[in-house]
Amino acid sequence: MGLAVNPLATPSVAAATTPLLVVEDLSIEFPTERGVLRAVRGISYEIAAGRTLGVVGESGCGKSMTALAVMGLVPSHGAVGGHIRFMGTDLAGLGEAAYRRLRGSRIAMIFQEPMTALNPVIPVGDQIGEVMQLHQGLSRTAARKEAVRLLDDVGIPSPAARAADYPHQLSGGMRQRAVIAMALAGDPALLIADEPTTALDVTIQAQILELMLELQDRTGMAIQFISHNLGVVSELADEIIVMYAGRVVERATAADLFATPLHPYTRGLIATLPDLTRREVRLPTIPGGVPDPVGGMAGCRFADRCPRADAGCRVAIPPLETLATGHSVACFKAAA
Amino acid sequence: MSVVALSTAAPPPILELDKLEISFPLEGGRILRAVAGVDLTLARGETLALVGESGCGKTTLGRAVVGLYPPTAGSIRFHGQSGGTTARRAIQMIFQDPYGSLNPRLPIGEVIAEPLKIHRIGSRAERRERARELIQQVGLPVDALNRYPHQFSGGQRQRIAIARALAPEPEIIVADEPLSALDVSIQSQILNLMAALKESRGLAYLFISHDLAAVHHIADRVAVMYLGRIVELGRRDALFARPSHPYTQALIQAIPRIGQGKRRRGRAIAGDVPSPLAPPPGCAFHPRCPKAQEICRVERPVLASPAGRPDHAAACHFAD
Repeated sequence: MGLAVNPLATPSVAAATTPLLVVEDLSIEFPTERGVLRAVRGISYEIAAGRTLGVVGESGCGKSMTALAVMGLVPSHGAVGGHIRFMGTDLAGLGEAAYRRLRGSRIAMIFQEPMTALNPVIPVGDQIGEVMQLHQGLSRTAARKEAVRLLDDVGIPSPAARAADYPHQLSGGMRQRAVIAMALAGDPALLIADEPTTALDVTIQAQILELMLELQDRTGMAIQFISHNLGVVSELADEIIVMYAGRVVERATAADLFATPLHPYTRGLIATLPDLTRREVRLPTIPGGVPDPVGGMAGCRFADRCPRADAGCRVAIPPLETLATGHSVACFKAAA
Repeated sequence: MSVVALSTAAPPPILELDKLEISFPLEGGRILRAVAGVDLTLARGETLALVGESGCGKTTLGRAVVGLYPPTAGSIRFHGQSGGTTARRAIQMIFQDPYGSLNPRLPIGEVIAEPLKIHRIGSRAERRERARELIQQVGLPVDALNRYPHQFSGGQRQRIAIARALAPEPEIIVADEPLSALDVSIQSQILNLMAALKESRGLAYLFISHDLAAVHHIADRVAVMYLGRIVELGRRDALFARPSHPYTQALIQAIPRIGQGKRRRGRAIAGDVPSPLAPPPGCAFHPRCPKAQEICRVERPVLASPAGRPDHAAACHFAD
């Protein structure tokens, strides 16, 4: 890849009309002593500029691994198949150096634990400034000034003073704000957020969710928001994909998904949540647990826990099919 | 104004916390008052939820109830008595982390029988028989007794932790965030199990959680803590339908809800929880409170019943 022109540096005309991110038939496998662990089993989705895609599922469903694949950060012993196109460029063909330029600039990622992204021995202002020096070629002084502006943008009070603080001097909420500021430093077109509020208290979670919505309004960035918490995703997402055991089992607009969930897994997830407006003696449950990601299992991966499954479900894998409403579901027995 | 003891109808409390204070000395002569004067009661068969954000003192309070921390001041009385081996047997605990709370080197049968061994209850054979009963009561097969903790999922381990807590036939179980490490689809299984055990054994729970939806499901009464103090206490329905303290109102507002659509703005209260090392003067919540007035910065409100709500208590100069 040439050094002079970075095709991903500015949005092209094509990017305005095609989705920002297109993931096609992505699969991720890891060799283990017991056999091949199939973390992601052929998933496809798109995110348009300025929109938020919620990715919902339980531990081991492949939602975080999918995000790492977009970032080009799948551990090196993993095999990644399929295509990931960002602003029209196939990321599979990107060299390591070009990928590094892309990460932290046009695609940024934030994690559940802000300390994983922060260096404990460097003041937060300097860490953000470093990103600006690296990706925007700013001088040290200009970068430091910009860092303070970004800390202000993400709602950190007395940003100039806080810029000199080390990460441990900030509260959990303030740390996550600082990480968001660092992500914004590269002016991302896509922000991937993996459970960014899970470690936070509920009032602080509400603040961070509001901040993300506000920043999206201001910058027009797209967000891929990964969470196990349906309520959180519901408040942020335009569209949602539900993942189960490495596959997308349902995809719909947020409104459709919660109004008319079609897959028995999605229906189960929603039903098991305690609700403030009703109180049953017994909550509905989904029996059993998620299947072993190693080794094969014929048919639908949810069949063993599914109230609707029959013999047919254990033979063939239901494809993700899109209905006339635009709502997609991978189930032979989907509720209509 | 006097502090209201919210006695729950008829049954006398089996557990009484009276002006309980738990402080920790820190280096430099500073003192962390994790629990700063709490009055609470728990009746037989009752579920009292203790909610609040990190640093509010709820975990410290729960650990003090099971005897892990001695009171710095005030008292914890179980059937009228302070401390003692009876309380230690009859008040058991389950923890948030089902991975860290089980000894990885013991087979499950011994994990469950351990509290019996510690309290010298029963013979070896009797303890083994008891473990057999308990493992089935928490919904696991008997052959689980010969396996080791790492062979189980998070939800199964929490069932094992519950079986262990049940072994010495406790009257009270202190459950500290028992759901938060579990997957969504597993949480409802554990909530149902806890409800069924309460029903069949007349257990009382001190259910410590930041998850208000789970609290709404399981609690009879709810106590809301902020910086070491109870700021609101009431029956579950009243507390959720008509929260009295601005902090409780903010907590309920902040619960993410499904299906209400994107962008419901302006529900977040500003600011962080202040350090318990330097609680704000007056009402500790005043720097974040939308209702705060001059008096809130100066005078700490006591926990008292708002007008016309004898069954409810809030510590706020402007309680609803």
